[in-house]
Amino acid sequence: MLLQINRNKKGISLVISYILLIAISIVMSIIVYQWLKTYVPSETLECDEGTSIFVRDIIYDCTSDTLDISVQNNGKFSVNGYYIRVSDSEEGLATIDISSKITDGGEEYGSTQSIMFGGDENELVPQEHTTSFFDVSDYEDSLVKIEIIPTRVQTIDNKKRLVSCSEAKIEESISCE
Amino acid sequence: MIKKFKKRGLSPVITTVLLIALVVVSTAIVFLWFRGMVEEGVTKFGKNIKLVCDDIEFEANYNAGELSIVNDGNIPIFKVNLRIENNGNFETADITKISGINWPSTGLAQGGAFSGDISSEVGSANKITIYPILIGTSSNGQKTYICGGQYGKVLAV
Repeated sequence: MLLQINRNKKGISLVISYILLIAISIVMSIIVYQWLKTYVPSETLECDEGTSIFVRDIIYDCTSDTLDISVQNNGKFSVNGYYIRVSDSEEGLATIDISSKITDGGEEYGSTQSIMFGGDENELVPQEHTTSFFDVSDYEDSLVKIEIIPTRVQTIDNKKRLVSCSEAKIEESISCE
Repeated sequence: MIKKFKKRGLSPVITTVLLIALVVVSTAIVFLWFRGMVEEGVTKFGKNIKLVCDDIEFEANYNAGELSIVNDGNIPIFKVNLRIENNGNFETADITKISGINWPSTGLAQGGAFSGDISSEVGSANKITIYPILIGTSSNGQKTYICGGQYGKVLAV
């Protein structure tokens, strides 16, 4: 008995198998890359080390309800402005934002609750000082504490960002004249 | 005796198409199954949100029923969870759900501060731990993430 089975021995063509293999590898690599990329630490939003300001003078007049604050840049880098909060209690944190109460010597920086000295740049260069004036007549109780955190505008990922320099935070007690 | 077989099977084109279709379908099935097992990735500022927890800087204080929180860092805090402990028992409260609390709807931006009376929630508790909650982006839209464990700030009452 002669059994002749004529099989077509060609499987999938070599070219198609290569294309399939490469396509699957590329797709898997892209998926794994996208997932792993989020775990790689990128540039952190933080102030340059050496940024510092100090308070030269504070004049708090309870009669006219004004607060004049003079700050000097004693760091290595220019600063753009600061966050300013006050408290009417020695206990607890200063949580009253007075950036909207500025009358002269700067302006509120958009809706960021911070003060900027000049334009959208780091205007206060090292060793320079500036004075800002605030109207605090809205607060019935006398203010006893003030907290200031300098801010800088830094370019991160080709975008200008306002950065809070929490390492250079200042706390001062204040009292009426 | 010679048996005559019809020797032509499926054409090579159909086998190739079938093979590719099978591979694609089986890959899709495996992918969907595997995706259900892997935790959904939530990102913020292009980073995995778990890494962003490291960059949070905030201060908190509890005094005479008043909770104060100040965001000193550059990461906006969407809201906070309070773990209120009382002699070994504890309960967790979302600050936005406490009555009378006026937490900012967009969270505590950089430089932002919050102060509110939570005495009704705290009662006679002896410890409060504050866990910041961030909001990030996932494939299903915005999603919150609780920075738990080491990122909690403990306040003695």
